[in-house]
Amino acid sequence: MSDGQVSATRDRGMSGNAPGGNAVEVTGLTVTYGSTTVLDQVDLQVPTGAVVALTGENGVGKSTLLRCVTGLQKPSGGAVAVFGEPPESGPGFWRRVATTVESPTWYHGLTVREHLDLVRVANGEDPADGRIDEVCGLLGITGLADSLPITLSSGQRQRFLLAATFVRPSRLLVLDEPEQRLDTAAKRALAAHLRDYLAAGGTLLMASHDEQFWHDVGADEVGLHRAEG
Amino acid sequence: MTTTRMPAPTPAAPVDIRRRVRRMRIAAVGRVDPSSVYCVLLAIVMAAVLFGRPLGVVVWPAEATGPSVPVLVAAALVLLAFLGVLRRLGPVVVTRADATWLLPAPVPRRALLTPALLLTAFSATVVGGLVGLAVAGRVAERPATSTVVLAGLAGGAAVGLLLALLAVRAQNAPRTGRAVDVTAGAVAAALVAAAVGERVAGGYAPPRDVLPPASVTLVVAVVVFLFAVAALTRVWWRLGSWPTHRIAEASAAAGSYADAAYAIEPSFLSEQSSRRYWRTRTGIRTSQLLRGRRLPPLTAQDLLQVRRKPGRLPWLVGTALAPAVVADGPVWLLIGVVLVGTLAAASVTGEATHTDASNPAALRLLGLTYRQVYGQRLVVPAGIAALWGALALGMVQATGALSGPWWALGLAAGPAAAVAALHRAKASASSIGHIFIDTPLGGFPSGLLLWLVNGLDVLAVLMLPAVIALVSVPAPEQLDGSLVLVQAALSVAGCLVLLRRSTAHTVGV
Repeated sequence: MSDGQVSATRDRGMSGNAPGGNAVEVTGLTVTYGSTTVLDQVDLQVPTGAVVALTGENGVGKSTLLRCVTGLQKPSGGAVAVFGEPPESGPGFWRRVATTVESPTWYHGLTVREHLDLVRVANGEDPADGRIDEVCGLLGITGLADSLPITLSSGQRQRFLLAATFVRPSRLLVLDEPEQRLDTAAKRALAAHLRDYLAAGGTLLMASHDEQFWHDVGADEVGLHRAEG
Repeated sequence: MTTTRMPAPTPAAPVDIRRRVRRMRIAAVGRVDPSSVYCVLLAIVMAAVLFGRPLGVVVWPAEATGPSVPVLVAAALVLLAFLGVLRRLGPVVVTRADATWLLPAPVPRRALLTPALLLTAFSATVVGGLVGLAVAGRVAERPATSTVVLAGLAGGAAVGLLLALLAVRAQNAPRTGRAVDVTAGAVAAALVAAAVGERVAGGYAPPRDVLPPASVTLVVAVVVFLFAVAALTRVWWRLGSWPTHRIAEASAAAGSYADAAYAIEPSFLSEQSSRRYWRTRTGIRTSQLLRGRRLPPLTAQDLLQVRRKPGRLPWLVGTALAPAVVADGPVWLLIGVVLVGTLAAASVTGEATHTDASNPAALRLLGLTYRQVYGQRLVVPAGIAALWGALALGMVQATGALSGPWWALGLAAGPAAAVAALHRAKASASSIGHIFIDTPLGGFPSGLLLWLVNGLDVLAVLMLPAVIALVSVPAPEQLDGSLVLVQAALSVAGCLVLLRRSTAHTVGV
C-alpha cells in the first residue's frame, strides 16, 4: 500500500503465441490519478478464445484496466490493442466488444423486453429468433419482461445488464465483476453461459472477487496487486 | 444488534428536537451571516422596486374593462398553475434532513408536518386572494367599494384554499392525484380552447351581471373559506396517521427541486419529474413495435414514448391554440409564442436524447453511430412539431389575423423544430456555461441563461422564413406559397447539416 504501484502476476507469462493471435494486448500500461499511480507498467495478453479473470483487492486497478481495454479511459502511458487495433469509440469496435464496465442509463418508458429487442434490432439481429428468451431464462428475468428498469432491484438490474450485453453479438466480452449481487444459482447459470460463449469462439476478460465463480468459468487468474515498497 | 424493550420510550417533543438540531447547526456553522440577511433584504427591496408597480397595475388596473372571457380564463389558468406547483412540491413535506432523521423517529408526526401545512394554506390564501383581487379590479366599476374589494379577496382566497385542500388530498391518495392531474390538464386545455373560440367567433363580452353581486359573493366566499379552514384543520388533526412513504417521497422530490434551484440546473427537474412518472406508471405491456422491425428502432422507441405519455396530448393541443389568443397583440409576442411552442412540441421525445448525452453507454450497447441515432430520432419530433405548427398557424389563420396557407408553413417548419429540439436536449445548463456572472448577490452561472435560449437560437435561424412572413405578411395580405417552399427547404437543410456534422462523431466520442 505504500506507493500505490501494482503489477500483474502473470502478465509476461502469457505471450501472444496463440493460434488466433491476441484478442487483447496491453503493454506498459500506466494510469495515474493526480499524484496516485493506480496502474504502473502493466503488461497483459489475452489470446483469442481465452478467458482471463483479473483478481486483487479493492482499488488495485482492475476496473481501470478494463476501462482502458474498452477505450473508455485514456491511459497515462503504454499501449492497448484489441484484435490488433487500438480501442476506439467507433461502432465497428463496439460491434465486436461488449462490456459491463459501465452501467447504461436505461430509457424511461421502455420495458425490459423492449430494451432487449432494441439492442437486438439496432445490432442487426432478429429479436424474435429465441435468443432473448434463452438469455432471459438463463438469468431468471423472464418474468420481468413487462417491467420498467426503474422499478428493478439492484440484483435484477445486474441480471438485466448482463442480458442486454449477452443478446448483442460480440467476439470479446469485458465484464466487471459479473457475479456481483447474483445468488448462487444465478452465478452457476452465468458461469455455464460464459463457458458456452467461449466454446463458440468468444474471448472473455473479466474482473472478479469470487474464486469459485471464475474457477467455474475456467478462467486463468491474473492477480493485480500493489507492489511492495 | 439491540432490540427495543417495553415499555417504549416516551417520544421526544419535536420542539425540543428542533431546538437541539438548531443548536448543533449553530455550533457547526455559526449563526446567520449578517451579509446573507443583507442580501435577502436587498433582493426583496429590489424585487419590490422592479416589479411592485407593474404587479400593482396587473392586480388593480386604473380602469375596469368589465368581465371578459380572457380575464376569467387567465385567472383560472393561474389558479390551475398554482395547483400544479402544489402537486409538484408535495405540498406536505419536510426537509430532506428531517425526512432522514426525524420522519422514521418516534417524533409526533403532526407537529413535524404542521409548518408545511401552514405554509401551503398561507400561500394558497395569498395567491388566491391576489387572483380574486385582480378579477375584481377588472370587473368592478370605479370607484370600487370596500365590499367589492373584500369579495374579490375572500372569493379568491376561498378558491385558493380549496385547491390547497385538493392538493393535500391528492398527495395522500395517488389515484385521486392522477385524476386531479389529468382533470386539471383537460380543464386548462378546455379553457384555452374557449378563449380561442371566443376570438374566432369575433369576441364575446359577458354581461356585467355574469358574476353575482359583491355582497352575495362576499357572504358565500366567507362561508366557503370557513368551511375550507375547518377541512384543513381536520386534515391537520389526522396528519399523525399519514403513511411515512407518502411524506418521504414528496420530501425527496421537493429536495430535488431545491437542488435544481440551488445548482441552477433545470434538467434536474425534468429528470426528477420523469423518474416520478415512470416509477408510478402501471399497466405497461411490452409492445411488438420494436420486434416487428418495420420502423428504425429509435423511431419506434420515440413512438412508444409518445403513446405512453398520453397526458401530454391535451397540453399540446391547448398550447397550439395559444398563438391564436395573442394574434392581436404585438407581432414579437406572436413570434415568441410560435417559436417556443414549436420547440416545446418537438421536445416531447427529448428525454432519450438527454439520457444518451449524459451517458452514452446505452448507445454503445446499440452499436449505432450518432448519424444513425439522430437520423432515427428526428422523425417523431419532426412529425409532432409539424402537426403542432399546422394547427397553431391554422388557428391564427382561422381568427382572420393571417391570410393564406399558413397551416402549410407550420407543417414545413416541423423538421426545423426537430433539429432545434435535438440540439436543446443534448445540453444541460451546467454543460454549456461555466462562466460566472458577478452580481451584488454573488456569482451567477451563465449556464442557465444559455440553457434558456439553447435551441431557440437554432430554431430562430431555421424558421427565418416563417418569422419574416409573420412580420411582413399581416392579413389581408395573402401568404405566398414560395415562402412555404423556402421554409421547407431550410428545414431539410437543417436536418442535413445536423446529420452531416454528426458523421465524424461516433458513439462515445
